Amino acid sequence: MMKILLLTLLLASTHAQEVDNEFVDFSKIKNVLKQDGLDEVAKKKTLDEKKKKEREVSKMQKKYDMPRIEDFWGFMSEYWLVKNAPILKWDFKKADYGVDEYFGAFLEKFGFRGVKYRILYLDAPVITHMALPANEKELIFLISVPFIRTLDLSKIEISLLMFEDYIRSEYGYFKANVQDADLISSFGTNFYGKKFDEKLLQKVLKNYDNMVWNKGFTINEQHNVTKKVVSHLVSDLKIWGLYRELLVKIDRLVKTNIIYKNYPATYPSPELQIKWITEPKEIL
Amino acid sequence: MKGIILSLLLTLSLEGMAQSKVTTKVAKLGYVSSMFAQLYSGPNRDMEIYTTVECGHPVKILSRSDGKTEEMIFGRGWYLIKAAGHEGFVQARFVSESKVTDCFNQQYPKYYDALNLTISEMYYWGRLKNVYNYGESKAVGDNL
Repeated sequence: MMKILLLTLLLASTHAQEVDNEFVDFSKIKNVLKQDGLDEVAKKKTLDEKKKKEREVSKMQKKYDMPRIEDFWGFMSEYWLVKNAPILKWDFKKADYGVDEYFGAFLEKFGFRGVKYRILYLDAPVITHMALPANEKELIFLISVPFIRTLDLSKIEISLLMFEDYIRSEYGYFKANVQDADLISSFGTNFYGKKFDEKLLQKVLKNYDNMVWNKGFTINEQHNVTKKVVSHLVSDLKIWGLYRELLVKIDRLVKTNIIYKNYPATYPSPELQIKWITEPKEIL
Repeated sequence: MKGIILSLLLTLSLEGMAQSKVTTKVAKLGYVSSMFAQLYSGPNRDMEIYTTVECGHPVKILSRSDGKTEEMIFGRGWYLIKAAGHEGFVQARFVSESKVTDCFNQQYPKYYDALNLTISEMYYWGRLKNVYNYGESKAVGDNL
């Protein structure tokens, strides 16, 4: 009986302690926590975790960035070159024409400094010569080796064609012809939570195709380019003379060789260019 | 007499072998800095292609020694590297000695993924980088 009584008392006292603990008034120790700085530590910890989470979300969202304009053109031109590799036939063993160094000196001579370029020789006549946009102050020049051989072009003549392409790119005609409002507004945006607009990419590729294979440059664009080229070359009459002779050669070629009959459709036209550059009042 | 001659010949040939033994070692670490880069069997873009590696890929730049001289640049600006399980030559212009932060595939990973490049397209892209002839006009002040 005594034992039962003792056990009951023991149980009752334990229960009383538990009940006391349940009613601990934490507000009483708030000030103590504040004084210890534990409250601040807890706040900082929550804030840090929030910031960490925000950083992670931002990092994840950033993965969906659309290219910025300065990164786009180099990528797009190369993507087009890769897609068209079988037609353009740029993967072939070729001789070193030494134009890469020569053209640098040519640009410097006419005051164009700090221009980076890549020359891609094509083993096909489908494009005779053209400059594709790359990154800022950089260009990709396409040059057809069959075209060079047919006309037996020298380094300076190839450089003159590249210079014409360079001036054309300075005017921004190629970019202007292949870009549209949708593309411009996409630069530097983000497609997180949206479906990737594949059509936009395909449209730009099509615009490249259209520009290179069909549309070419307008007479007005070609007139501006030719006049600008001449305005630079006129400081060296020997080179100006070579440019004129080169245009005569090309004019003769496009009128007699069926392979190059579409040349005037892309660059209208050698005949007109000769006329434009020989207008005396314009070159003086 | 015969024995002496034979042992002399053997010693000479062993010495010759020791002298011409070419060794390679890791000189430094690097990263592919071009959209794609290709490993070639020799320091020339017309050699056999072993593999294509993506921008940002870590590589080991090797130096080669014949016991007398040690070289790290081969031909006209090529490195001998180890990457993706291959040892081959890559144009030095496509390798950076510091970590690359402006790779297109790393800057725009989801856009890049959406392109769904095929193996053949990756090969051609790597090849394209190698078949270009690179040039530039000097910047203002370069020749002052």
